Parts: sequence; structure tokens; C-alpha cells
Amino acid sequence: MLEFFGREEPRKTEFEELTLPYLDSLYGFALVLTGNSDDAHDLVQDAYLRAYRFYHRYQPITHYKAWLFTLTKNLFINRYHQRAREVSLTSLEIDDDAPYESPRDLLVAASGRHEKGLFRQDFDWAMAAMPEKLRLAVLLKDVEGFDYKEIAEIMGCPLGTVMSRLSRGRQLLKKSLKDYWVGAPPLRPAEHARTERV
Amino acid sequence: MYDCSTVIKLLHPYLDRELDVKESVRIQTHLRECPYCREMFSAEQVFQDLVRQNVAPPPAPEFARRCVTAALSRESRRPRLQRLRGRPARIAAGAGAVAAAAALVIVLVGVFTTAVPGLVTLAVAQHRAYLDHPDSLEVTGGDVAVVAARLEERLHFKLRLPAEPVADLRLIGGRVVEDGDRRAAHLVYRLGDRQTVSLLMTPPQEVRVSGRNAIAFKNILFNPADIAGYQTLQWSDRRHTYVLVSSEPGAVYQACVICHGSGQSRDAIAGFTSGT
Repeated sequence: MLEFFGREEPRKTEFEELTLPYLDSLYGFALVLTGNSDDAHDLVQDAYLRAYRFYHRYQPITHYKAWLFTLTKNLFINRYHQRAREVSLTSLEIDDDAPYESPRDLLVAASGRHEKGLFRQDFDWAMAAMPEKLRLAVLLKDVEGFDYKEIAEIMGCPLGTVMSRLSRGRQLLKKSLKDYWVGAPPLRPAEHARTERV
Repeated sequence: MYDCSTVIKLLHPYLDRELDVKESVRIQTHLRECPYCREMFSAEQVFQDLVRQNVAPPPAPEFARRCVTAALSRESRRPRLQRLRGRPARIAAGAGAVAAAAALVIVLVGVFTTAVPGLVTLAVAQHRAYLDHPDSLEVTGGDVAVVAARLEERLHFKLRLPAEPVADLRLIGGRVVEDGDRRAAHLVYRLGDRQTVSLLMTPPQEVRVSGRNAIAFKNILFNPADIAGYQTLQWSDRRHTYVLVSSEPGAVYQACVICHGSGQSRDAIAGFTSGT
């Protein structure tokens, strides 16, 4: 009988070794989902508790990180589904047929920022300005390194939607950064025309 | 051979290594011959590297990390079935009874496998606690409205008890069960002369079960189990999650008339009770 209670501690250690390395990633993910650190804190804590409770049920262990992300996303939808629905309505759409914008001009405009160590804050600003769903796609791919199929599972959407969000997200990121770096306020055609000659 | 517009469309999947070999080779062939696209691809690659290096979210605050590990420690000290220990032991009269209840818990814990949801084990423990100490009910009496109202004073949810009287089934009473921060209603019924049936009700919650014996009926999944000699039936609807407990399987199914006492609602369960 004692064995039953004694079994808990090694199980917990094993669980922590497998999952705690993803805490930073999950927290960043929760921050994008909830939009504030208080809710992100609660969401991550609940996700870990739930993951721990279901840990022994998770038989085909192939990818803990994707499992944790999916679980966090589902928990978020269950708990905040009212708000999640509101968020989805605010998503700013970019025309899928918009011409592809090369990053060449952007990279030219960016020169100089790098030496000054300003890149990081520029990206933070540009990411924060993106609609949640596009930001999530970029985060899951470029930061967390999930493949398209895993992202589709985590975000609960078809593969085609992942590709479209990713491409729109990167385009928007490029555009915001370019507008920012060339000092042109967005949506002012005259200014935009000037920068294109640079 | 791909043209430029096709290649540009596949730019992201290509750089993300999501294309199959055939498509990748086609892209590479095009890139070898098209300086415009080649430059575009390499600039995009540089940009994606920049994104990768610069958009990583800041690490989780140390406080969040501490909270997570503390919560996991609390959870691990509170084994899955520990919730069985608290209340029945407290209501037991003497030290002997406490020991008996503790022994029961250990026996149950030994018998149970992880496939049995905590809520069902909680229901069995409450049922046994009642059998051992019939005086432990907080409210007694057969008036459904009175019992429900008294229990609701201490519950965090509205208790929907069917008010229809059923000839061979009598409400004995009920009590509020505390399970961590959650509360459940435990109702005791007498079926016929000597069978006792317990009904545990909580707000609807997710109960994971092994599913091997589950019975799907009218869009509801019923989970029967045999736990330490007790027969249980667990299910959820929009209003509650329920667990019925009795020592006889027949009694559990007969107890469905608690909610489906007469008329149409009795017809609704005809297929279920006769088929099992």
C-alpha cells in the first residue's frame, strides 16, 4: 500500500524533467493567448496541473512540447471561450492575393539598427501590433519550431489555414518593420512612394 | 518547371522544409536559373533568421516558475484518491471509526486502478460512509424540495432534483461533500425494502474513463464500473455530472427512475434499463 503513495514522487520528478523545460515557451504562448500576465500565469499553472493529472494516460509519447501547447490552447478555449470568440472577430485580415513583398528593402532599411542593439525591441513592437492569430502562427513556427501539422493541431485549424496565416503574418511583420525602419508612417502613399526610391 | 509566381507561392513552405522532395527539387531547379527568385529566397531566409533570433518571448517570470512547481508538489502530495480520506473520516464518530474509514480508503486505493475517475471513487466512499454511519446525513426526509433547498445553501451550484414521487424509491436525505475546493451533493435513496442507492451530483465536469464498458444511450455516455464490490454508473448532462452507487447492479439501473419516474420520461429510459 505504501508503494502507491511512494510512487508519486519519482513520477512527479519525471514529469517535471519532461515538461518544465517548456515553461518559458508555454508562458510566452499563454501571454499571446490571454493578452495579460495575470491570466497567462493562471493558464500556465492550470495547464501544468492538468498535464500532470493526465500524464499517466498519455501513452504514445512522441512530442511533449506539442502536447503541452495543445492542452494549453484547449484549456484556454474552455476557460475563456467567450473572449476567444471575441478575439477571433477582431483579426485583421490581409488580402491573400496581395503581391509578395520582398524583404530586400527591409533589410536595407534595417541596417544600422542591428549595431545599435535595437532589433529586439523593434520586433517586439511589430509582433505586438499583429493580430493574435497571425502572431501565434509566427510564434509557433519561427520561435517554437513546430511543423505545419503540429501548428494545425495546436491552433485547431486546417493545414491550409496555417500556411496562409504564416505567410500573412510574416508579410505583415515585414511591412510593419519596414514602415517603422524607414520612418514612414504607415498608410501614407506619398511617403511610401518616397521610400521605394531609397 | 515552375514559373516565378508558383515559386514565390511556395517560398515559405520551401524554407520551412515542408515540401516533398519532388517539389523541392523543382524549386531548386528554378532558383538555379532565375537570379530574381534566388535573391528573393536568400533575402527571405535572412529575414526569417532575424525573426527567429528576435521574436522569442521573454522567459517566464521566476514567480510563475515557482508557482507551477509548488502547485505540482501540492498535487503530488494529494494522490489521486486522497480526496477520499477527508470528509468521511471527519464525520465518523470515534477513533475506531476513523481507523476503519482509513483502512477502507487504503483497501479501495489498493484495488483501484488509474482508470477509475476520482469522482466515482469519491461517490463509493460516500456511499460506504453513509452505510457505516446513517446518522451522518445533514438533511433527512423525503421532501425533495426541502432537501434540495437545504443542500443548496452550502453548494456552489443549483441542484436540480426531480420532484416526481416514485412508488418503490424513497429519498432518505442528503449531505454536502467537500472535495478540495469543489462541493458535491450526496443523496441517499432507499429502493424497495432494503436496497440503498447513493447519488452524487456535481456541476458538469470532465470525467475521463477507460471507456471499455461505456454505454452510449441518447447521446449520453454512461460509464458503469464495479469498484470494491460496489456497482457504479457515472454520466454527465448539461446540468450535472452524476454517479449512482449501489451494491447491486440491478439497483443502479432501477435507480434511473429517480429522474425518470413516470410517463414519457420513463419511456425515455426503457431501452436503457432493459438492455443492460
